[in-house]
Amino acid sequence: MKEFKTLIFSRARSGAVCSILTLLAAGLLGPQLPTAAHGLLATYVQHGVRLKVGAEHIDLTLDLTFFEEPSARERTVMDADANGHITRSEVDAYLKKLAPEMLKQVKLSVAGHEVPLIPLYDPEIDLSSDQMIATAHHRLRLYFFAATPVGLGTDDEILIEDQLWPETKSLGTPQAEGSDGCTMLPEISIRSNAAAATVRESRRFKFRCVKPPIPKSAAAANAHSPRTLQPKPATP
Amino acid sequence: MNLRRLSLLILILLTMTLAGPSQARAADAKSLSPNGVVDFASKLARDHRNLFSPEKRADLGALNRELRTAQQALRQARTDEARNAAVARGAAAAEQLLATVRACERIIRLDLTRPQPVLVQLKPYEVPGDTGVLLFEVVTGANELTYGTTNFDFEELPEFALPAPLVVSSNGTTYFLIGLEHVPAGRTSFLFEISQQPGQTPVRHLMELTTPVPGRLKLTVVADDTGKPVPAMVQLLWQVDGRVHQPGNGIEFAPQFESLGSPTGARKANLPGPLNEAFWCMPGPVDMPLSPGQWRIGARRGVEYEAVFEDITVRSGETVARELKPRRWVDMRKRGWWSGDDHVHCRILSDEDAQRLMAWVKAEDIHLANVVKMGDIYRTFFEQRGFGPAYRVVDGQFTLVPGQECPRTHEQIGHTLAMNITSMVRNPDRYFLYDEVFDAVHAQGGLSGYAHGNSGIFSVHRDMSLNVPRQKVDFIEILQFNELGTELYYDFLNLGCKLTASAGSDVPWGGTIGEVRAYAFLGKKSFTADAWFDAFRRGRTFTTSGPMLEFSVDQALPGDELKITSDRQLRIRARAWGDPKHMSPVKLEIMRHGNIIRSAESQDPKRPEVQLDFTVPAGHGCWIAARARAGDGTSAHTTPVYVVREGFRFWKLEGLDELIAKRLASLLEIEQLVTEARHPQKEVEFRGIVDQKQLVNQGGALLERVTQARKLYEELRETARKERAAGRAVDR
Repeated sequence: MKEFKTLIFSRARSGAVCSILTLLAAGLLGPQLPTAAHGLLATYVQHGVRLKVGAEHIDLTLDLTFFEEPSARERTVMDADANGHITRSEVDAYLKKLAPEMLKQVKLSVAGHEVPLIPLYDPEIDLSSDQMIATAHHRLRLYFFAATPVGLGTDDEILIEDQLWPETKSLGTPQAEGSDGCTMLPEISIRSNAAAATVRESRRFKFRCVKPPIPKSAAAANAHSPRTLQPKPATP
Repeated sequence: MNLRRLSLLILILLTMTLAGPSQARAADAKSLSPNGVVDFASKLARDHRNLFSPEKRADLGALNRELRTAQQALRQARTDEARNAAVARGAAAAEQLLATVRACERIIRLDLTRPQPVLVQLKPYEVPGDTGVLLFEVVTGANELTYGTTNFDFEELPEFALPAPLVVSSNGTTYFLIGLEHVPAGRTSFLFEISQQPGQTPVRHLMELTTPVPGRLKLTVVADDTGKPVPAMVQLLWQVDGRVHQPGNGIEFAPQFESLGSPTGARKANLPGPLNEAFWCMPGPVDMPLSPGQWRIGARRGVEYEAVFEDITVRSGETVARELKPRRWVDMRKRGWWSGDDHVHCRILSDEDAQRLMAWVKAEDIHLANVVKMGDIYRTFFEQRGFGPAYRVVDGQFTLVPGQECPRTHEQIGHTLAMNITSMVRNPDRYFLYDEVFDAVHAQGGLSGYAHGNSGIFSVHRDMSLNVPRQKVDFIEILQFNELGTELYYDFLNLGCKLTASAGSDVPWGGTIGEVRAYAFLGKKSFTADAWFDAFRRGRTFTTSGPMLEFSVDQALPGDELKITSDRQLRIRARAWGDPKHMSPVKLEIMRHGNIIRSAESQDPKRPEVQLDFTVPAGHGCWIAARARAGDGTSAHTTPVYVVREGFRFWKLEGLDELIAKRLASLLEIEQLVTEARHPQKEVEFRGIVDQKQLVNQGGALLERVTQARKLYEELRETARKERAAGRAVDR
């Protein structure tokens, strides 16, 4: 019988239990899993990078589609009780453990200056209707945002560096959109293999600001205190 | 589980038990107060906004960002001052959130301080449909404020079972969000428990839910030109839960995908914006019940049409009838260009299978789909009824043609495609000798090519180094998953090797049929599969995921060979344009030997169109192509025009030695594969056993081909030496 478990922030310990159990399950059972079928892109993770730039915020959504093999590996980690069926609480525990690490592995730079990313929502997983340990795909979606730097101008480069699952081969698909009058373009890629990064190579997705957003109002800009592109003075 | 593993588990659990409380305290010091407020606000802002009015929803979004920012600042604070500032920022936002939540009209209040706490429901709580949310205020005292969230999924809840208890503050007020999923239609009673501390006897409550009487949607998607119903990709998004629902007649392709890739009929295109969300193939009009509320309905019909979306309100017991007409912004057929997808995986074993797939290609407006049976050295996938003209499926101007993706080796020399074959070519005992397959395909009148050339995955560069200079291959995919990749393509063009640019979606690994496509120029000829293949064979193609291209050098079109006898001016004309509503600006670039020689970008945001018309000297010959990039991140690229001057190849002499060195390095990699396979001590993963065994068996023949290729590259070096000398003489 499956049981529902509540997820309340104060119950950090139960989160730790689940986290360690997931690691344990992965360590004990991972190597015993049958390898996935020889699917076409079976060993890859597709990194869909969606950037939305507006007057106040830059929203970044990372859509990671895990093809068969990496999906099977991650599903094994999710399936904390190793019963072959992944419950919602197992997924929640898996995400809670991963979220802080994933934040560290994604960087945003605007015109050469790093802009801190903040999680907008908790990450979510779509197991593609298949709750089992199986040779299927799953999708992990991460949401971040940052304050739009005041000095964002025409031809400024926005760079996303993504080091998620660095050991797993990846395919990158960048997309950009603007709001508040902003127009963004992903930089054209003429280098193959750059997107198919392999061992510990960070994925770098570049976007060019064709037209910067129009600030909604000076008051609004001040209220949100966005960072400027100027280097910050050294703090003690 | 064996004893060793059991011991390890116990040890870890023990460690965890001891370490748990301190970890919890450490985490709390970095969390905003009240407990759980950030998660609560996030869920409210994203998943359960429908509890509030539209004005309040915008506030919730802003409050979520504010709380998240404060949370981040608190976690990163190194000084008391920074910490205090973050806490104050969070507290201000939390206060606003509390006021908003308390004012919610749908809040369910439960006072557990009374002697006999009960949840009194005067009438069942109405949830909007099969999903919903319950917002509780549970009072147990006056001390603290906490927030919690959870989900009840009725599909996962066995009959008579209770969800796990909600744990609330033991002396304070707890606000709780309970997301509801798969709520049965009609009236539903269920028990749930509230506990003030883990281990304490929970208090049980009976909750009654009811779902409203559904409304109905009658939806038809019609063609822009004829006004008649047509298959289309359709999205029914219920604003209440933010999820896409399957149309009543939406086609489920899972059985034809054989559990591979993304085996579902809900297709998320690798395309920008809302097209990246799920759409279902709807073969015709639908009449279906829908939960009441706000819906966003959308329809798209491939890249030549602008997707349309409409917000509708469905009311209980009422029918909404809508006709959606995706607007055609370009008709490439009228310009002589017909679309194709060289890489579609889908089983076809019956007329019903074929009809379903035909509906999909019509919905995506793809005139020719190369439906490939896939193979590897072990087995095959995506069975077809047969190959050749007799097994084509033709419906008006749409055709499904069985083809193959085989041979495919993942760790060795890449994946290949074949089109227009009369039988599948596959021999595991000769599996690594791709040239034999290419020759057999050509003997059948078919076309051979490489898959995934855009990303270079599966080490496709290795077989390309063997067989492209031997003119065994017709085409290469340079666009897939909306990613244009041309490094390999340019390298081989710069060696003076002709290759036709192609594109394929690779569903079910890709998003949807035709998300990237190859257009073939038929001119005034009527569309037939044979005409399309003839045009493709001539290289008269361009690939795109969005913008359109027209390109000529003098009168030559992509794929043509323009013969010249001396250096003269060539007139280059090119045009790129896109959907006015989504693709602005469009950038057009003219590539010669892989370098941009001219570019232009559209200036009018309402008219993403740009043209170039200029002349360049032919020199000793070259290849020239056009590529385009649209503002929405889509791109296009033509096959080149090959400018061949008498006595010269069209290659890039400058840097040729480096290009040949790369190819020789690839040949070395193939030799190493064979050497490693032959090594008696080589440890092989179980899954690689057949590959290795066959590599040993076929290694000799493969190495012979490596030797032949090396000789070819040496001949190319010699040709280059002669051309340099001849070029100097001609230039003098």
